[in-house]
Amino acid sequence: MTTLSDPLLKISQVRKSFTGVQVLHGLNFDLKRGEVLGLVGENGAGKSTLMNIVGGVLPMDSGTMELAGESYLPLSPLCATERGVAFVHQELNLFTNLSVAENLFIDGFPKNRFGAIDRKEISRRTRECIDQFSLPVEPDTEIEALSAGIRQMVEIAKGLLKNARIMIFDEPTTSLSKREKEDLFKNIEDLRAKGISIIYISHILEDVFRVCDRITVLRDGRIIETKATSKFSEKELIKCMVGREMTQVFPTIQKEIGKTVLLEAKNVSSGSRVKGISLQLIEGEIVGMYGLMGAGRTDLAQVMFGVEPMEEGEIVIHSCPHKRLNPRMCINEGMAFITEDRRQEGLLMTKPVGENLGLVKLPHLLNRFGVVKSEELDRENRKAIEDLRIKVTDYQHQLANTLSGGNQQKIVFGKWVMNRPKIFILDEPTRGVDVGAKFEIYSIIANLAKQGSAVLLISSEIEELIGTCDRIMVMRNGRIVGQSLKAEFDQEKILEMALQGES
Amino acid sequence: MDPNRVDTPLKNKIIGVLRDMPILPLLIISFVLAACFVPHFFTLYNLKNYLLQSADLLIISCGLTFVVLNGGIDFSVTSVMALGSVVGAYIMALSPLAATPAVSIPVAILVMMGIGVLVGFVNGLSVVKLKMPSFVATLATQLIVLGLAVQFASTVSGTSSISGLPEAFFILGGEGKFFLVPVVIAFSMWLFSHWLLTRTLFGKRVYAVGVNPLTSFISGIPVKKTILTLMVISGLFAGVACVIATARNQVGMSSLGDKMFLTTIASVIVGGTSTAGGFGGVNKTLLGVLFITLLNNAMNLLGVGWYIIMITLGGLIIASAMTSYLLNRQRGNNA
Amino acid sequence: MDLLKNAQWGECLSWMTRYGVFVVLVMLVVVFSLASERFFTIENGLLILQQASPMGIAVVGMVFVLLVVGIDISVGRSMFFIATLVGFSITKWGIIPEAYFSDMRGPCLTLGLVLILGSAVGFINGFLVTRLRILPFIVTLATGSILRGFGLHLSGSASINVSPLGALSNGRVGPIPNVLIIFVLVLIVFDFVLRHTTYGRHLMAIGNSPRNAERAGIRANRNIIIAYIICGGLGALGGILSAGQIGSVAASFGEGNEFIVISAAVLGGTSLFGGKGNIMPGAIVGIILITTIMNGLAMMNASPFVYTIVRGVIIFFAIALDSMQRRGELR
Repeated sequence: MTTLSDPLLKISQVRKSFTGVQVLHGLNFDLKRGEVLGLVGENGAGKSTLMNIVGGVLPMDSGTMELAGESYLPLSPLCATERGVAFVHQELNLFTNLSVAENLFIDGFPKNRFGAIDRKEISRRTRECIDQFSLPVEPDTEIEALSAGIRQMVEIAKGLLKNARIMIFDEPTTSLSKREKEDLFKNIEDLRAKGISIIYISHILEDVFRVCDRITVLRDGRIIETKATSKFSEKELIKCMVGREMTQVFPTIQKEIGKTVLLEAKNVSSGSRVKGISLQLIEGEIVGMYGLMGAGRTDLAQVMFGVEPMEEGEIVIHSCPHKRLNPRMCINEGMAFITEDRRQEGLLMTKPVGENLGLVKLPHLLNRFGVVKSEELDRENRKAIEDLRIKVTDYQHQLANTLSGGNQQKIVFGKWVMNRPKIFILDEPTRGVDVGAKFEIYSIIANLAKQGSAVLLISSEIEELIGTCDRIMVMRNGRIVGQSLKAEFDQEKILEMALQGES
Repeated sequence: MDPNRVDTPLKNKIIGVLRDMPILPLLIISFVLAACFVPHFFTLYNLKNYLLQSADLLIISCGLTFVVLNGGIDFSVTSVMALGSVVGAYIMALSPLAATPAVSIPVAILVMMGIGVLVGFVNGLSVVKLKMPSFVATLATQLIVLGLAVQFASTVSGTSSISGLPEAFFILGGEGKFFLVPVVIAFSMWLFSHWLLTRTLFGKRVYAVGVNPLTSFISGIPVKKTILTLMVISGLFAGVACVIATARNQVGMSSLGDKMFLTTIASVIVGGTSTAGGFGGVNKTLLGVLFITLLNNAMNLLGVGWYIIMITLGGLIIASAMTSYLLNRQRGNNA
Repeated sequence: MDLLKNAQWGECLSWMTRYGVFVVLVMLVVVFSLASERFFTIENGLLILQQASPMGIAVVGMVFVLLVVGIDISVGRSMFFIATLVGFSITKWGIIPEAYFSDMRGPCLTLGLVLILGSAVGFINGFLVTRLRILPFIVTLATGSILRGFGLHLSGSASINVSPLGALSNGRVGPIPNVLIIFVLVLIVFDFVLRHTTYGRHLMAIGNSPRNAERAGIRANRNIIIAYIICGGLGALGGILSAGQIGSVAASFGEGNEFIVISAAVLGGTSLFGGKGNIMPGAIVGIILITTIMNGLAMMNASPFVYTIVRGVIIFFAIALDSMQRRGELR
């Protein structure tokens, strides 16, 4: 028999792993009725994975979940919604070519007696919703016409319409204006008054402190601490988020940082994600770039490599200023870009390893007639495989998608290194890579720097940055908000800058 | 690759070839069956015909292969043939240059190829700059070019064909004892395509872009230029096929290439080049061409109408696409 | 600064696609009226509507397929095949005896047969596209060829007589052509389906974001197959009415019709890339525009090849306008 004081949602020993990497290590978590629970943690701590499990997007490997005392095992987001769990994702689940009313009722239109959609009814109920949440829309407004902030409010309204008992918000305020944010908080208050429980994921600690009753801290797939908001101080929270024992081993390599500035970005801006970035990459130096999701790091990298256009500012490469870049130019200037998503952007997954390795260097392996010198290509391929210790038996035939994550990443490295670039931009180079391969990749990076290259290492793992970099920059909201030098590396300070740094 | 395999390298190679090009055994079997059961098939006369028919189709299919390797299609190739045919014929028969075949023939050939290049260029720009999907862009150009061809023929000669071409030109069509000329030309162009696709930088780029344009772009491959170039190649090859076909028919016809598109695309797809892009090649297209021409030839000898051929080709295309899908699934599942 | 220019350009393009067609239509009417005095008459207007209606019906069907990023280039050849079959059913095989055409039985049975056949073809297309994941234009290219092959085989390239259908296709109720009435009925019914049924809204959702649609529990495959069935059925209907207008089904009947149908749909505001569809007034305006052009050209005694060229140019511009607004892979 459940009483009102029993938790509404109870999660026990939930485990989840992806391709051999354990992401959630037996979590125990509960949510009381009518409470707002904040969920905080760094990128990759497991917040999204946990919530995806609760929301029916992902299955868990083992563990149990109970909702209002009954077993809860959602097989799909629809199942979750039916049980009263609504998940408001960051990438909204709205159809831009349909109206507000249609979106609210897309998975169950009330019908009139002809079997058609009862427009009057949905208009009426939508209007109720609109009034309730003071949405500045009409039932017929097309989502296309709405700003991101208002779209999100519609998404929230959608969840509530389904009589949700639990609402999960994943970084809800990233696209909201100040006023919209206030409206959101007011709505959350109203929800709580109605007895609805809310899980609020955010890295804006100020908001978390304001809105949540309790806070749970997740780190590396484990729950570190859960207690009432009043009992937390911000400093303590940060410490919990990041205060791990640094157990990773990093290669120690003697190297010298030179004086030449190989690349300098001067006031680079692009769209709303990159605002006036200035930085320098010096030969022999490994510069880390930390930031939370949405800080704009990948956007910056894409602008620096010419994948996205630069609107303002200029980039000086080897003393040559540029206002327009494209990847080919950058490659010719001796740059390399290892992207975040190797499957979609870094590799030709259905092609053999050899073909992938040669992709960048090819223009330099030609003879007079434009023919590829296959012997030389083979030699380079074999050398890359050997140098980087890529585990592949037949590089000419084995497809890239048959290799492990770590080896795939090494192929990407191999592809770029072959061209002997001097400037490396690495975006999450060890994501989805096992521990052993990670160490090898760190060695590769260190050696590159030792040989005089400049490296920009974008990563969400503070430990990784501390272990490999000479200095760490922190980005937030498209700007660089701070920098930390090797001598004073401190996990908490770095996270603090990422969370709250002033630009 | 099974490290425990203890077979001889030759056997490995054969199995590899078979797995890679399943059309090959089909081709051989069909050839044998035709030789045995189709009357008049295995005669010198018919085999000569077969070769000549293959020649045209091979050239145009090779050009189309480039486009299909990028995941696109080019519907305009057959109408390029039509336009080239009437314009070239005009130059050689009705224009002021007609009096001097030594001049008119080379000019006509250049113009015919030039038309192909021009149309290919327009197609390429539509895809790359206007971001139109290739199947629509080339559909539109096909209609426009065909209309121009018919209009042109009608204007200059009142009918849909232009005759009176210089005899020297017919050599290119395999007239009499020169019957090997088109075959040699076709083979050379095939060889050239094969070399281009397998040995050169451009070829490697075509495959890379066909598989993943984004990765290719980031790796420094000029994606737009590559796509533009392969559309031009398709047009150019159509122009060359036009020269040979016009020479063989000995008239310029605005109906040249009519009905040919189906056989062309069937050759490419049945040969084994994937319509999704990135996989296949002209060596496969060669087999496809030989097979489709064989079918065509045999069916004609058996008195089977064009309609049955249409049905067969349609069915083969679906069967090949299905096979391709099933094989791709397997490949993708090796992750 | 470039961002501002981009936004303005985008707005300009979007305005052009929305209202451009009307503007062009008005301009054309003016031009043709000046070129030939027979153009701007009620009789000619009705003639245009009569010519446009059969293809217009097919346009409505095509909209559904385009909505889900599909395409059906087998429409024209399907029209040929089904018209041939129907012609034989009436004149040779006696499935629908000619006697029935003295009252409504003949036309009704014909239309029923046509809808069934067309839907079957549509089902096959839809099945191949969704289950076997073959690119729609390859599938429909192949099925189109197969259908045409069958049709030619049956007819032996001779023209098939379908004159009993003439009363239906060319007849009028008062001054209003029968086919126009059928077209309007189809428009009303299917516009309703698109706008006011769960199916229609789900189709829009699938075209907009297949991923979100899946999350919302919408069964994409089933809905897509139904779209192809609708396209096949309506296409066949338009085809038979068109054949009836001519009186016979020649070997070249239907060739190239799919491009008229697709162009009309795109000109009317439906996007090739899915998620945007417009039946009323889009399909109407699109098909009237194209038919007007053809009608006007005929009035000006333009040579037949000009038709082909103009058709090509129309498709080109219609699609270019649609394509320039999107961001995506280049194929």
